[in-house]
Amino acid sequence: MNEFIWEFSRDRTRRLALRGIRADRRKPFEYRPITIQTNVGSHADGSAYVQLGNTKVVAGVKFEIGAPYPDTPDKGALITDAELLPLASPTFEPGPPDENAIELARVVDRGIRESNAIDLSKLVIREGELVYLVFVDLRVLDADGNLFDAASMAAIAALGTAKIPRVEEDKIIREEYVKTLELNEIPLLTTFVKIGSAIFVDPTLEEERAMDARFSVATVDDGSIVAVQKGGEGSFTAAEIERMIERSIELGKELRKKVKEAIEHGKD
Amino acid sequence: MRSDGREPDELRSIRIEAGVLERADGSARIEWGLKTKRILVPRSEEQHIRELMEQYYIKMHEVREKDLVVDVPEKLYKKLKELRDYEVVGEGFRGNIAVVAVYGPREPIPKHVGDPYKAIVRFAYRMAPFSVPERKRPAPGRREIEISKVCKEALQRVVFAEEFPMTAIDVFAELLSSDAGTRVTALTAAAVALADAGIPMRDMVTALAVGKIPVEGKETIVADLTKFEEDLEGAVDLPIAITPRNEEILLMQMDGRITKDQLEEAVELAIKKAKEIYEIQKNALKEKYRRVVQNE
Repeated sequence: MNEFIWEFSRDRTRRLALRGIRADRRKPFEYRPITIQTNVGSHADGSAYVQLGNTKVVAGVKFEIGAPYPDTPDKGALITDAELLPLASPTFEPGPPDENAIELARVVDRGIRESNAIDLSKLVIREGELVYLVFVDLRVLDADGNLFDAASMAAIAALGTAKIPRVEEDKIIREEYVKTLELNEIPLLTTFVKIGSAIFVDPTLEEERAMDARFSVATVDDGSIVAVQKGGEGSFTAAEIERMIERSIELGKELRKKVKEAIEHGKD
Repeated sequence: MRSDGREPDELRSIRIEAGVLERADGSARIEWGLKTKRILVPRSEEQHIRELMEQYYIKMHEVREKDLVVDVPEKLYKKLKELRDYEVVGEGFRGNIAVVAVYGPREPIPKHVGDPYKAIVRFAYRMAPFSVPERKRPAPGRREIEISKVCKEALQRVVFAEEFPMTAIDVFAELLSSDAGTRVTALTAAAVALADAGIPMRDMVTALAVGKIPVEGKETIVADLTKFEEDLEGAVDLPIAITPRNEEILLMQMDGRITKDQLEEAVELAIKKAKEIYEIQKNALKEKYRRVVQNE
């Protein structure tokens, strides 16, 4: 879509939002349809494909081995990367990850890391010398808004079905596994946008283009909040933040059910 | 009492000076940290000091043949003095130091990034290689790119950008010293630098970190964490930027694990403390013009 059409669509989205209406007729706190498929890549140690409305994201997990970070000699490492592939949108360009891709990867990473979803201390081969490095690579294939939540579901579903490869004489034996990676938590992001005075969950690209600000909350099972990220140029009041946090705890439960099912289904 | 002697809601000391750079359209220098005393301790107490270092924000400054120079935050030193008199041999500072420059509104380079409806704010947050214990590679890392993005978004909202279409407002923040809360330090100074550049703004932007840490074994909501506190087991860090008059939240990030009630308490504390910092920002601007008028 060119800028001219976007201007029209932005106006329309904002006008509708004034009356609390969304262009696709969803309720303010309703997600688009979600499908999660696991084990989608044959060489990945764990993988998942998530479709959230028209947004499509693939996550792949690969284990490597290497030296631990100097400040955590007794822990494996988690490395999350995201790329907004040029195939996903006319506005994405080839080249190294830009600020949007970096933010996406870091916010998804934050929820997983801060909730201790994976116990990195169990990924040590020889303390201080050799540990497992867990790479989570996110690839956005089709960007129709809310990449955060789609990527977060994909990442955790891929990790939940990932298997740890065997190591012999300090080398990874590819595609020979010793066990499944255990998840302690299923941290998931819930993202809201503010358009005028309206607040909607799971924004489409149209809504993101029209938004004032964005707010993402990562929650876990017991209702704790493990990460927060505000984005966009607009602002929120403390009361609005309170409301979104409350909603994110409820919505997180529903999303978690879907992700859990996908993980259970993907385990052999 | 916290590990540096502060109360839970107490900020570190903040000093802002506006208009510190010659060529920039606006600028500010900020010092945000703890003042410390360097005290002399006999070598025989080294073991004891090392044990205290686990619990308190005390640092070994110099290990000499006969004695030790130990760096103690001022507030902690006052408590220490009640127990025993130590010889003070110097003073120090542990915290963030940043210099921020604002250029613009000016023609954006490359030109095609210009917006026909408004000025675009660009923000470059960078850490000097010597600003951290281990030398940092000079090229901007992913962390710096993310921070630059959220800071830029926070400022875009407050400037009257629509008055300067097809221009860029460039903000450059260089961290010369760091001790937790560097993005909020940079942003607080950047808002002063924007005002110093004479760029019309809807409100000031005031930023600080709040969070949750164990204080004397109890989970406590605190303001303005040090690196020592950020690294404590179970610590939650929540940088936040606010417009102090309208209480709009412009930036908010969090990592750690926190309940809904604690989070709300933290946001409330942030709004309250932001008003204190706002006064410091205003004074910095007034002080600059006092200087300008005096030199006329």
